[in-house]
Amino acid sequence: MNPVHVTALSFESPLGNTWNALTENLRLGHSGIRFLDPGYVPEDFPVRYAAKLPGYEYVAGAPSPVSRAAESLAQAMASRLPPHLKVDGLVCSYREVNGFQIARDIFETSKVQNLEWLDPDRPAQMIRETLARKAQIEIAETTVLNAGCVSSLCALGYAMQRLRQGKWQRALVAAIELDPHPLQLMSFFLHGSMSVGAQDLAEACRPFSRSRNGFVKGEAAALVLLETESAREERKANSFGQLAGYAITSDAYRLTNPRPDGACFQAAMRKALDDARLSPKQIDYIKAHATALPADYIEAEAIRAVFDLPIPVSSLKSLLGNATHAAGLMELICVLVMMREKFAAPNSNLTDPDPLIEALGLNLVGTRAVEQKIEHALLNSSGGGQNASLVIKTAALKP
Amino acid sequence: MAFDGLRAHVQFFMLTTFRYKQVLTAREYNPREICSVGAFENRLPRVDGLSFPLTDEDLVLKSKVPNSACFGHLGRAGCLSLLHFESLKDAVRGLDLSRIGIYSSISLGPVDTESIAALSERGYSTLGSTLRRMLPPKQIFKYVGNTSAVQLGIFLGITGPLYSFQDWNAGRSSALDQALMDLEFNSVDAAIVVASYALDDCLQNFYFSNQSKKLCEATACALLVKGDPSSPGTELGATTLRDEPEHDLYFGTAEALVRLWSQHV
Repeated sequence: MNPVHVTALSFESPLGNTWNALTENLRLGHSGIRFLDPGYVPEDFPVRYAAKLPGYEYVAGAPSPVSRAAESLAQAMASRLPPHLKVDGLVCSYREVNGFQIARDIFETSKVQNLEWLDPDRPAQMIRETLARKAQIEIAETTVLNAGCVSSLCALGYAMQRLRQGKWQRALVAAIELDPHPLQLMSFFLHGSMSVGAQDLAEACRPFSRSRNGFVKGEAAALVLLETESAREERKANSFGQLAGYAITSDAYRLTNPRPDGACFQAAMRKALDDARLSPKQIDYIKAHATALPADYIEAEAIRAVFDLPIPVSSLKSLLGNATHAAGLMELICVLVMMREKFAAPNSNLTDPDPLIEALGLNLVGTRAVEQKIEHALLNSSGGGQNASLVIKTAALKP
Repeated sequence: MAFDGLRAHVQFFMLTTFRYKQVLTAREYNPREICSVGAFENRLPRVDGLSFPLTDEDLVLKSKVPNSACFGHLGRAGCLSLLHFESLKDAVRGLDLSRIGIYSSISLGPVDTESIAALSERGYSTLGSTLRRMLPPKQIFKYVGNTSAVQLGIFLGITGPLYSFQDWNAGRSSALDQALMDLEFNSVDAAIVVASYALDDCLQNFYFSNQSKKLCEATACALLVKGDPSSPGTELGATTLRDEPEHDLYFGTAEALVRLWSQHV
């Protein structure tokens, strides 16, 4: 099997835009959740906080926030790559949400503008153009996925399959989640899935807790370069880690809730382990999807069924919020940080564990990070009736 | 994107395209009218020359899904995708449902013009209470690209992989490519490829009207099984699907399947 390496990355997260900042904030369990600016949502709005990135609000007449982030990621990536690199594919996960703001502009100004930013291909185009301009990097194919919370793990899986099978040698995977407009926030609220009313924002999102009451919307933007072993060797690139196994399943149950028996969640984890040719006992850390909804219990039970072992488990949603389309890729970068820096991030608000989850006997990381050597890790994403799992392994190379 | 070397058999292929008419150019419209509440309520953009041969009510009746409540949280393209339910139900009978994948390419529904109008008319300060009254609880699923494919999987009981792509460019064929790859590498026994493009987004229609494209609603669905020379069906191999259309009709995300249908079936 052709190994797939993560050899370059750029990201912008509520916990910082550099490796060192992300490491420190993950280790210390600092939350990126902040109150929304007064102009962003009105006073009577129930949703008042999110883990937002600064500087990515919609601006009439300017490129869309997702496209601006795409350009920024590509600029950073261009500075890390040699010129004239051949890239076989760009796989993106994002959802352009400009329609709301564009239509609002039209209503309020009677002036039609920015319609080109409705096009979901534009952010991908921005990445291609920026890399071509800054580093003469050519990208052969582009694909855009839009599948909610599992979207960016799907994008990684899509690229990984082509690399392992030798169809591609290099791929870029981008995931961007930005600018949740009021309509979207209200829709999540009405669906009953958002945390509201927290006084202390550091405790706003509480996965696995008895008092959990929903997720906090997150924003993130990330871009990684994946390379086959031969492509990596060809340019003597270092590796942050390897993608070893991947699987995706559907629940065939409901859009709003996972299957109560967690059978398809279990199947995704088992298939990803099989794909990586690893046994459960070889996994050193599990990054749970857990968003602080009732479904945390189903995921915990599924993990227990697959891993009857005291493997450290944590969710990063209390720190990063739920960056839906970008969550999987941003959390992959976080786990690569943990692998290299040898720790497992905390469940930072887990002061009142759900007794039902506690009874399962999972080794949930407490409110402080723990020192942990991670050779192999499993990452879960779930939502909207789908489950995806990714197994990664340490590169055994100096990053 | 080329599929050289890949082999699959099309067990069945269903295609529905709707008669198009040229969209008039943007300058003939008052922008407020194009994005009007009336247009939203009728699910019809105020663009002369466009009409839907199938109304939303027709779609609900024709799809014969077990629970028509799902149409409440789907855009029109999602409703079009469910037209294939009845045929798929028969086609997948006897197959291992955990070994079937769904590969969807879809245009998302319209912006919620009504909410935007309410925001403009009733003011920003009361937006929270206004939206609370207006929006249905499952509104969020209208914004997610995989909703209709997941809904199809729920009705059919399919628990295999599911991919949802959202490309506007005509002919983009990622869903088909991924289905063929999963078949080739034995990740699935069968692949449902479904693509739907609808004209319910008045902003999109307005945008395309400036590009002189002839818009055409379409939904297409194929059930593919791994190539086997002895099995019946149409061989799908060594087919090159171009990213740019060679004709002047625009089927949006459904372009790849529509072209495949016209080439092979």
